[in-house]
Amino acid sequence: MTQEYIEEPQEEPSLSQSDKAFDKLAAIEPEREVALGDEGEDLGGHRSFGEKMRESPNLTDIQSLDKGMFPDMGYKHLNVLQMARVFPDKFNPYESILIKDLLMNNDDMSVAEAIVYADTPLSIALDGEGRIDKLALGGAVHADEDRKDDVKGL
Amino acid sequence: MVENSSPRTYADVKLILGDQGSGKTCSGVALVKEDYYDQLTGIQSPSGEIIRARCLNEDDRIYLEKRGVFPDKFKYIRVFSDDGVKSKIIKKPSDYDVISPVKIFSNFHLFGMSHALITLADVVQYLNSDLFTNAWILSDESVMTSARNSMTAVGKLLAGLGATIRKRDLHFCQMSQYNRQVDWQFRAYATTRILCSFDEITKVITCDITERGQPRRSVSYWAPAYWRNFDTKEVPKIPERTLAKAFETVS
Repeated sequence: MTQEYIEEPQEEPSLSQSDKAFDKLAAIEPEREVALGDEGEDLGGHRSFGEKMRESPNLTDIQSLDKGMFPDMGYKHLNVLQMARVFPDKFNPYESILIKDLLMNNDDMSVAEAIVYADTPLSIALDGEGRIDKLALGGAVHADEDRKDDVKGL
Repeated sequence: MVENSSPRTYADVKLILGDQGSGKTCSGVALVKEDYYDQLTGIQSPSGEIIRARCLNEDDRIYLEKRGVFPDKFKYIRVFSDDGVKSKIIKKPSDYDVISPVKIFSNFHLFGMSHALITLADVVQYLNSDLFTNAWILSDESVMTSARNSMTAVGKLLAGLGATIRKRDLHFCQMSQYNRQVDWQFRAYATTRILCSFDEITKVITCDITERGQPRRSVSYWAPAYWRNFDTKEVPKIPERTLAKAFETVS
């Protein structure tokens, strides 16, 4: 596991007064002996806290939920449909039209894929359930804001 | 620590909150350890020999990952020959100390990282010097910034320190069980709030992070990676004078 590598030697930075004062107070003790359990000594597949912070998609829990509950279908009309109100008696005709449309306009789409693509936004929008869920998420945001205010304690 | 060419535009004051045993101290130590290892300049053998080194950069990580090694950033480092011409990636021997220019002040013991153990008295003594500049300060429990001490002489002095955290280029981490335990001025200075919770089965700490200018986010990490660096049972020392004063009221 060796690799040739050339790096310009760096000049030693001069110590400031505060660094010198710190050095007088500072000490280093070896790491403690702690049994870390079955997973062993290394981080292994785990990332450090800092790496996890940098990798974080910066989504709040509610944003993640929103993304999961209302997925991007890849087609504008299917995304819009999620927020519509589909009456139960229109569900089957709608589905059949959508499946035919998807299959006719996408040569490489399988029948199963077309059914899933049509069924997902339709079932979200059935009786306007998607709108209701979205409003509930909005309410959760306000509840979350209130909780944050409580925690702030100012 | 290498001086930053441009000063920060905000005070790095982190409030790390959570119930007892929720991973507050671990999270504070994790933040410091990250910076300490990112800036490491060498390793020192038990006999005192110093070898120049640095932490792995992105190219090194890609190089190792292509060979099926997913390096632990606290274990793998790149070491250099004395003339700086040759280098190689090694797994740091466990008995070698890491040398880093990062200055850490803490009111509890850290292991494997050079740090200065400070008490409230030390903070007051050195407040007017430039000792507390360009460094990390870890304050566990609210011994230093207790809300109950806010109108005492020392409480006012510490609030003054809090007000100059950006000017001093400090990173201040206050670990407390709940927000109101901390002096209200420090709560107002805080630019990051981290709420911790610990899952005993997976040994994962989840941090709910509210950071200045960032959307709120959740980050989970594996806690045992930091267990060797602090003792969760260590009780921060209460200043002798405070104890004597309290003793007067009961004797």
